[in-house]
Amino acid sequence: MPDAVSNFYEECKGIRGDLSQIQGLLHDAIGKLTEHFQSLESDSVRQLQLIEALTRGMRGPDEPVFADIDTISSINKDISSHVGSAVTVLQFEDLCQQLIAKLMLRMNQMEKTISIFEGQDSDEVIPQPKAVRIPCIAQKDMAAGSVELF
Amino acid sequence: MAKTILAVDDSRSMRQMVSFTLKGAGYDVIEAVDGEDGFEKSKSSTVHLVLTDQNMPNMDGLTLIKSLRGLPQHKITPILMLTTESSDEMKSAGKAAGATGWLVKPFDPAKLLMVVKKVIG
Repeated sequence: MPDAVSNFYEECKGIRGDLSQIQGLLHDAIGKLTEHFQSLESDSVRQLQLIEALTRGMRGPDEPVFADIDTISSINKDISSHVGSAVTVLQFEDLCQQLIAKLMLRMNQMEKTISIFEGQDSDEVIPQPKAVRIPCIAQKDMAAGSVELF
Repeated sequence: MAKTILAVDDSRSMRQMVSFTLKGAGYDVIEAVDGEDGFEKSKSSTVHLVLTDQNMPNMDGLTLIKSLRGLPQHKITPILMLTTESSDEMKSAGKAAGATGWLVKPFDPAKLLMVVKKVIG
């Protein structure tokens, strides 16, 4: 099989892989975002109910007010944690945009290959289109990436 | 006085997320849309840390690092890469260019703040 044809099939395989990666990232991101926003909503409601109970003096004399304040503070930490996780997951937009840009590079490569094929005799040596560096995006889900200090 | 961080990324949503995280922790943030813009802004402002993406139009992250290291005022400024690229090859290239660290996207806000604090306080 001539190299150009082999490269053409390689690009097709790459395109299928990139599309499947986008599909996976979107699926993971939407699922996680839904969970975080639902948790944010229920935590906010719980926090508000406690604050209302405290401010309206609805607690009886034996009920521990400090425990409520601790609970409010703990819910607040949970809310911050959900916001942080949502910020991580919201980066799916950047990852998907980069994968789409990568798909476009692959499509350009394929177009160049096809244009080279056009007007060629079957036994003629087909020149290769100039190779372009395709960015590497290995992320399969929206888990936070690694951190390394040199 | 708050320290200033230059955030370089061609993705608007990434710049927003980085700014949201860093400003929330009390840092000042200057945003740049690519390496070229980042290089110009680093010359005209006081910058304590640069956080840059790799794959950007006009000038990529590695070229930006090399260009910044050529400026006397940024010879030792910490520069962190924040990118989707995670290969050892790219990390080595970053280290050789003068990067201080390498963060793979997506970032976790708490981890980003921990690294920033470690690097510039």
